[in-house]
Amino acid sequence: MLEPILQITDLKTHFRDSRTGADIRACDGVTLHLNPGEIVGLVGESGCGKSTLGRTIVGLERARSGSIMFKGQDVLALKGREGAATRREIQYIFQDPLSSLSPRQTVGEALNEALIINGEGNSAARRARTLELLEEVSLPSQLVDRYAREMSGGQRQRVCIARALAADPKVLVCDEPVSSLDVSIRAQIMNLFLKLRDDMGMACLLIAHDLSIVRLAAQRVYVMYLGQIMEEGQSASLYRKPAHPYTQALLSAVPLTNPDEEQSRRRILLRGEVPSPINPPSGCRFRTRCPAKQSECETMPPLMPFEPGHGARCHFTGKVDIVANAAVP
Amino acid sequence: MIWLRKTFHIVGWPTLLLVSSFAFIAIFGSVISPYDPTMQNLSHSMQSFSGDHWLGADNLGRDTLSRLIAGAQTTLLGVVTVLLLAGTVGMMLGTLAGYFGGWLDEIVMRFCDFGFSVPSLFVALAFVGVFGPSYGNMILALSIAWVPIYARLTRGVVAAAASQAYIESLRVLGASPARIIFRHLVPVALGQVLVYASADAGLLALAIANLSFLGLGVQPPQAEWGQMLVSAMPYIQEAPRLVILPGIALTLLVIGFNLLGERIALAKNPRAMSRRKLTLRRAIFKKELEA
Amino acid sequence: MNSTTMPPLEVDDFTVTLHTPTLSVRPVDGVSYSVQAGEVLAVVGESGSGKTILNMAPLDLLPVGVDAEMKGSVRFEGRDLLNMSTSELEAVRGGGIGVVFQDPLSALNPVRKIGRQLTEGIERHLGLTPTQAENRTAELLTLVGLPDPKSRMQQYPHELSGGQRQRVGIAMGISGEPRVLIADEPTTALDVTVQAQIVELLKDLQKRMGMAIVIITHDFGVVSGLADKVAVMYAGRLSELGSVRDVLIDPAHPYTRGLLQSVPSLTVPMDTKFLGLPGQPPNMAYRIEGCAFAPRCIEARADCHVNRPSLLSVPHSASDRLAACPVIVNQFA
Repeated sequence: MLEPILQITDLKTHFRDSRTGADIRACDGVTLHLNPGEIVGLVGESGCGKSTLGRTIVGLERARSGSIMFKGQDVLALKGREGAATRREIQYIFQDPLSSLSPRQTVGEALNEALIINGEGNSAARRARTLELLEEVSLPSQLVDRYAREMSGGQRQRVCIARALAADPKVLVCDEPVSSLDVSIRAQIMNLFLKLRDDMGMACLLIAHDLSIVRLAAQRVYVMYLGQIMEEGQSASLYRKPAHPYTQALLSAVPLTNPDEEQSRRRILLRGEVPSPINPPSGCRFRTRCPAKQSECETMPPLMPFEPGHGARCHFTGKVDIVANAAVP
Repeated sequence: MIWLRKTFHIVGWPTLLLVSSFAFIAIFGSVISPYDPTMQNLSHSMQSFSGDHWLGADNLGRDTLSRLIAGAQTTLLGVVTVLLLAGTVGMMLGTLAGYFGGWLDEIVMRFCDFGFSVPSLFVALAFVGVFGPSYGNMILALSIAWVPIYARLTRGVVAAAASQAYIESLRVLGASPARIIFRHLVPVALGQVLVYASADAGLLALAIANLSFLGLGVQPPQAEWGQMLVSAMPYIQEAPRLVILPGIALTLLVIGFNLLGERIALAKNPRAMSRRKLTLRRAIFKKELEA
Repeated sequence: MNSTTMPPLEVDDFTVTLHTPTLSVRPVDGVSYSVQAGEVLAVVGESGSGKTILNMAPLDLLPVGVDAEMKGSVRFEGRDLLNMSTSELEAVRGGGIGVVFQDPLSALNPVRKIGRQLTEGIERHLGLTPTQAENRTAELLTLVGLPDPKSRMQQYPHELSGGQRQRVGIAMGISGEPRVLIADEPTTALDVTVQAQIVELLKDLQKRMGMAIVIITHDFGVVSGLADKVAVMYAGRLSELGSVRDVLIDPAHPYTRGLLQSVPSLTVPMDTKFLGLPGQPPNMAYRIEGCAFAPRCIEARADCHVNRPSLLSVPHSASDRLAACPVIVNQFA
């Protein structure tokens, strides 16, 4: 068994609602791990807390409690210069590459600055490394003098990845890295992540709402709803046999591009709205919208094992399939 | 020389001419001044426009032109000093508040609220009341009164920039707060502050004249336009030029600064910032100050 | 309305040239298609393909300050929209042609309750009294699946969730009982579960009201679930036009193929590689010689870079299908 490179345990990140002062429980007790050289998907709908989780991992949000173990240290307890040195081995890729590059810096300047921050004192070495980084993300070296606004979306996202690589990271947290890009460009960026994984043993947490992309990229997947992990498992197992009713509904809602398949499939249309994270339902978070809810659901279910490495936070794991009972439209 | 042509293009020749001639007068005032502005010559008392005194002389026979020139020096020196002091301190406070947020932000913003709720004239009055009226004290008082404006302006710009993904990327990369602040946030804020300051300078020139008019600023015999106005008041019937000339000087300076600020703001943000919008924004900002 | 033979919307050789102070671009270049009553046409393309301008320009719904020069014809029930006066066009927009925007409520005043803002439009376009208009609004909100419409009307735009906002947007779009509904990326900002609800809603409404729907999207999933016909656009030109089954199951144009490959469906094998298209879409500020897609096309011949391909009928298709690629059309034959 491989030792995880990142182990997150019972992580809670809450925000304060500026008007009412109430706690917004964006991320509410998440346990998750990443093995070296593994792409792990984190999927869920907007507002489920997946971005908050990612931002907490890299220190952009402050955790309320829990731990994030990385290389034997709790990242949340790291302080000072050495803490920063360890932390920067976890890098973050933003959704919108344009706003994550300074409008006042050329590509070369941005990479150079990242290398300075990483402690490379020699300017000749920085120049050489800048060109290496561009090559690693398959960008031509002429781009060093370009500004972000002078490049295409795909090129910008490559620059962001190159800048993250300047910190010699072991883990990349990628928050919707392709959703702002045109569909025909997305494959280039996804293949780059696969290459980083295969060539450098990079571990990636791929936060995305596009279940189809995650399915092909990730070895394992976590499904999040209202601040909690609802289901986790190997992609092959989870996509083939989703155990949690929420995952089942989610997968059944993803449209298929083949019109014959699309028009003959069973689909669950979830009713109602996602409850507020200020006052989430007691017991199972999904019970207010679950077509299969029972009286047991008023107590919080633990993560119940389903198949090896695959489990769901549902009392009826392995016994419920809401889509099988759904009508074909 | 490209920058010169660019400046010329942005600012336009009337504004440039106006502002640069005031700057020229202020810098070379002592050279071009025909007389010592404080030298009395009672035999020339109340002399009208003449070859000796192009713009006449006042009740004590002091040359009006020389006093106007000296007034320009006093005013511009005051304006520049206050903007430098208030701008620097305000930017420091605003940057810290905007970047770090939390209790620091609370303290700075409450200080700003206090500054905005008390009219600057009051602050100046209190300050001068305690330390006595003088040019230096007036400058200090105005600087204190002006700090909240720049602190709030900077704080807004910095807070907006700090939540941008490119600043967050730097944080994730492990950049020190000093690097983020001085290399990325301050340049952004500085641009905004300079734009605002160029329009604000006119307001400050007025404030200096106001305070001196009330006897809280520049003391006789030092020449200053507001102070010239007040000492000419008894002779307004007899020699209206003694009141009108400093008035014109002040008006021209204020118009020059306002045009400058407006043109720079327009050039920085050509689409969003119509002239009308700028006036509107100024009005809103002013209302905010009063509220 | 017995015009069963005449399509309610007929676009013929439509070209849009946009003029800005610095440059002129042609985002729509010689596009022709038609939609029948009771039919859903999906206009598919990536950003910059001109799919939005194609549908918004004839209705005078481009951003203020954009100078659009239009050629060709866009006939709504036989009348050319391009020759209409502003007031005639306004009447068509509120009545015969309904429009649903990507975020419709951003057009509403955020500090006024939505009920009043909705009823105002309905009052004006249908010539109803305020009470009638209010009742009609409540009916419409129920129709688009918003329970308890009366209390919904008391809310402010920001109090609605993304799905509810889009439902209100659709209610606004169908308020004039249109014969043609144009929906611009109505599901793009929504999560999949909400998107599925909206697609169901549009299908349901179309069955009930029998209108023609033009849906502008970049999402083939939405196309396959909702549309009958699909028009694929690239660089302002139509690259393929045909029935959804023909185009999505057996695409003819290399661009359609590449685009479909770029969106791996949930049903492809787990070891499928990510495939996209190399290169970038062309810069529209320059005149494009030949086929606009040729620089990114694996099938391109020397000829493709020189001669602009016209739309050719693709043989052996289940229904009429056109593709602007002579190379592939010859292979099909």
